[in-house]
Amino acid sequence: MKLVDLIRATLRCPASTPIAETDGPGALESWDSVAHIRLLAAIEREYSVRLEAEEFAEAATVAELRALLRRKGVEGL
Amino acid sequence: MSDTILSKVLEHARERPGEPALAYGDETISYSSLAGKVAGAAAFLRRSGVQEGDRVLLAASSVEPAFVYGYLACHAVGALAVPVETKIAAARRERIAADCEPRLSFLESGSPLAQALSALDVAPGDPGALAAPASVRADIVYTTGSTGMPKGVIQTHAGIASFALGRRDAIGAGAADRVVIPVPLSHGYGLCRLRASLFHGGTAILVPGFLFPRNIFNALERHQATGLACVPSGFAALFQLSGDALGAHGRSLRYVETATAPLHPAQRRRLLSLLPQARLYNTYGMTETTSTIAYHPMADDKEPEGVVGRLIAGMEARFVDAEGGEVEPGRLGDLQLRGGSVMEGYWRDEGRTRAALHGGWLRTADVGWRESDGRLVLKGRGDDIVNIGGFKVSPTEVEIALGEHPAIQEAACVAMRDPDGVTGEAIKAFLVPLPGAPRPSPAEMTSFLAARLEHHKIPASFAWVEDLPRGVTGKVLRSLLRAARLRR
Repeated sequence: MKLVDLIRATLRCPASTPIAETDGPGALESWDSVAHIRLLAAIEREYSVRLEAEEFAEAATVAELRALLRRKGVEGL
Repeated sequence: MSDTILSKVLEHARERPGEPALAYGDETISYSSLAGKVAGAAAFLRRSGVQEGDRVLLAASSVEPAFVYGYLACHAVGALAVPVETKIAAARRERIAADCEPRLSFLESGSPLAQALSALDVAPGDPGALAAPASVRADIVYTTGSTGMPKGVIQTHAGIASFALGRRDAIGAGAADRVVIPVPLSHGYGLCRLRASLFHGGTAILVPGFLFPRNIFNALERHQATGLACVPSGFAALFQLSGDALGAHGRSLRYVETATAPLHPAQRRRLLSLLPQARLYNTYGMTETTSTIAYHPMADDKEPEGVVGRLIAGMEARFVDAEGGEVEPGRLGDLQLRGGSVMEGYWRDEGRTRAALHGGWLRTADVGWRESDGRLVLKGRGDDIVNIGGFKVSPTEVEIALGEHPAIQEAACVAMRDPDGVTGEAIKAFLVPLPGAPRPSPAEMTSFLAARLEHHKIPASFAWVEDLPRGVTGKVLRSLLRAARLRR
């Protein structure tokens, strides 16, 4: 699944919701702390990676999250 | 007339004017400034036609001090403050407004919240002109009814004072207290920490949620905070987004409170190990009792589950059987409560008030027993309300929203364990399709509901079934659906 689709599914927002590369935690109404830790779990499941709490917390935007996952060797985001 | 938050704030402003009352990020507001701001906001409310007994809807912001100015200004003019979520869904806002008919509303609608609240952040007035409120009623706090319709709980100044004094006696949080409050102020738990802190002349340090743990850690260190008001889903967020960092940043903490849902034993062990100098309190209460009415210091991980501890002063508890007779200690019964913190009743709902209050006793939906040493132990609820990270959700409300979908004939919702282990419980929806209609995917159902409900109310799981189990009266038997879920 593409990263933005995974984010939409985890945040339980409509498929039509635009998500920009500069969006991040707090940017959308439903992107709260509960959704954010659900996203961490969903990313680890979907892309079979392990993320440290600190490195995940530092990714403040979709672009930074994408860059973090690329560094972990995840392709096709 | 007993002390009120406003009379105590005015007293602190006279006796300890420079002491910090509120803190937001880098900003602090002294008791003297707070009293002036409240006087200015009260003058604004009066000019706007707000009179004693009127209702005023306020978005309970943890970011804009104007919420606190407006909240106390309502008390100054004898109006009832109605604090609601900052991101309230349109349907809930409309139901609440239709129920309480506010004279004024300060909510986000079209423009940013800061703009809506800015009318309350005016030039300071003369605190000397503020009188202690003569009214008995303080606020209406809306909670979730079993039908999904919001219930307006009338909280009184006496009930708030009873809570503030009881909390001080139970955990020692008085004038020297500096409590970090990252939980929402629209919820009785967060609101009452703010109220108690102002009542005793402490410092309420407001942080908007757990999304950025750094904000909480900065607040703890900058103010050398003595207390932290938290919830299990908040601890889950702190641990998953910042590992064990709370231990290093929380060295000044003397106590940590948790509420709204049982603390997982692993979280309890981790907290006790990370903060060995702090007391960890499990607490119990509900909107109908103003806030917390029982405290339990958690000493180790050997104690049984569900202990909520001893009552604060001025409260009584009894457990009753199906006939209403009080049961012996150790025997399971329905919990009833009586005392200074119990609500006056539900706003304009005599039927519900009569059903909830009988001879001064409040019938809670909780089931448990009293230990021989007096501590209360709770084992669950006797109704269908689902507790999602501390937010009570009526399955009926979700079922009504699902029933609006053109492919669904009927729906039933029950509690399930949160698959991500974050919010304790989540909702599972069982759906009966209309014959011949295409079955929407979970993503489509989620999109459909997102336009109708707050996101925490959207089911975590959907299952299609041919029909729903019913009892002889035709009522859907959610207990059978819960059992079916457990077998899968």
